[in-house]
Amino acid sequence: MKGLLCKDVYLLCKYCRSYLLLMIIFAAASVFSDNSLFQFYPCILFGLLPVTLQSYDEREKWTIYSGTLPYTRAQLVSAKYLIGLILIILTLVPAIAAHAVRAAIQGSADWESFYGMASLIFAVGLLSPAVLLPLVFRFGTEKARIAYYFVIALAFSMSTFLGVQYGFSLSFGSGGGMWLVVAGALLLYALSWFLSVILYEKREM
Amino acid sequence: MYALEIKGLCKSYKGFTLDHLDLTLPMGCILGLVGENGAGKTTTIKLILDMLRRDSGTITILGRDNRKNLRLNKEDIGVVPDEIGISECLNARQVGRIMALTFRNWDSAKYDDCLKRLSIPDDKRFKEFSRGMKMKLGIAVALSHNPKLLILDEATSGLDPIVRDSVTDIFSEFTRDENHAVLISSHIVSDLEKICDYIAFLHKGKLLLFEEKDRLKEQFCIVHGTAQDLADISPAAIKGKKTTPYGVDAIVARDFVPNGMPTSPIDIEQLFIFMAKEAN
Repeated sequence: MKGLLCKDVYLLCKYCRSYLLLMIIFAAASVFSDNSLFQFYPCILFGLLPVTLQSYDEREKWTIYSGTLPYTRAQLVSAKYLIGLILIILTLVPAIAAHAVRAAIQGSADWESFYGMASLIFAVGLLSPAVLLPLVFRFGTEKARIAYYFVIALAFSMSTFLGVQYGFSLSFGSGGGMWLVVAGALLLYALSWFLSVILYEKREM
Repeated sequence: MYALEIKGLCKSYKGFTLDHLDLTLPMGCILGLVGENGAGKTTTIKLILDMLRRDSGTITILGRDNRKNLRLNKEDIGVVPDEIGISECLNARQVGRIMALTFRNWDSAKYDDCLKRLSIPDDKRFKEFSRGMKMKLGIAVALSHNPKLLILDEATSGLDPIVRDSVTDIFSEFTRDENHAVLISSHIVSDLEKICDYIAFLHKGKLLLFEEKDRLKEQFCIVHGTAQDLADISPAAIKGKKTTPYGVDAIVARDFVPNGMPTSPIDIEQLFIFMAKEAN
């Protein structure tokens, strides 16, 4: 599977470099703004990158060519889920850094709210690929496009809602319940992964 | 042991049926799968690679069922599909790195040698490659992990005659090793005639003929005559015929040709065209 990950990294470096810049800009903006969109947007965007990669694979006929290589369908699916997980974890780095800078500027390090924020970013990031990838592996990116827009709208609505209800994360954080949100998101991601493998194994190339 | 053994293979789509296909490819040989577009060549290859689910039948690759231990099977197979699905932003060097992480038996020196031999630039992006160049890169990848079986789907179409010639030389060279075999599908019959040991004709999902190439040439000839001349020959011996204002040309089993009737040797392309038309 290392070859699949290597190929996806090459694709990300080539096609998605601008996303990195966007992530840095949004992290910088989040230092000076209370709007949580700046914190959530990069993770939603990066969470959707496995879908983008799969659409490149389909357009460039890699999905068919990879069928001739010594990979199982489960490995082909797993590569996308692993990439997704790595990317979402990566988006936490600038978010954490921005939060630390903000805390330093304001002179108040509220680690409870920080923990709540990081957990929510992670959970929201996992949500989009968890919903979309099974549809993509079953129907292809073209047919799953409607669902793609629906999930984007849902993710942004959620992030806006969570922004308005910022106390939500605080109360969860202080209550120590955020691990439930993270565990729930991880469980959903794992179920989605499992479902995608089953659906992709049934698909004819 | 056969490199490839297909028995009673069936697959139905809407508007197409691959009907009880039986093929065997001995080691050290090249089998040419001939058929017009839509005859079932790519379907057969996808079934061999388990990219499509068969309805019935069995496929054995190098003595192993194609669906059991698929990864191990694919380590031993080099495949050149009709469209090389390498990502457009990659260059040949990056493709080499990906494949080195993909195949256990990847031979980087062999890959570099193939790139040189086939004049493939290693720093140019795949997007900028011509169709011929893309095919050549696909061939280089297929050869560089020491496969025992090469499966080529229309690998020579889109190549200019000089490149086609050098590519067919590579395939012939590959089968000098008796542990190697090649399955090649094409509708450019002249290429197959040059290199194949066995020929299989597919027509609308049915196997019209499967025979050693040299035996085909020995068995059949073209008879030139009138409709009346042909009436003297057993219909079962006539594989196909073409009527022109100047008479009738027919492909006939040599044993059934009456003495004195003018004949000429066949080439595989003629045989295929006559048989396909007859089947229509």
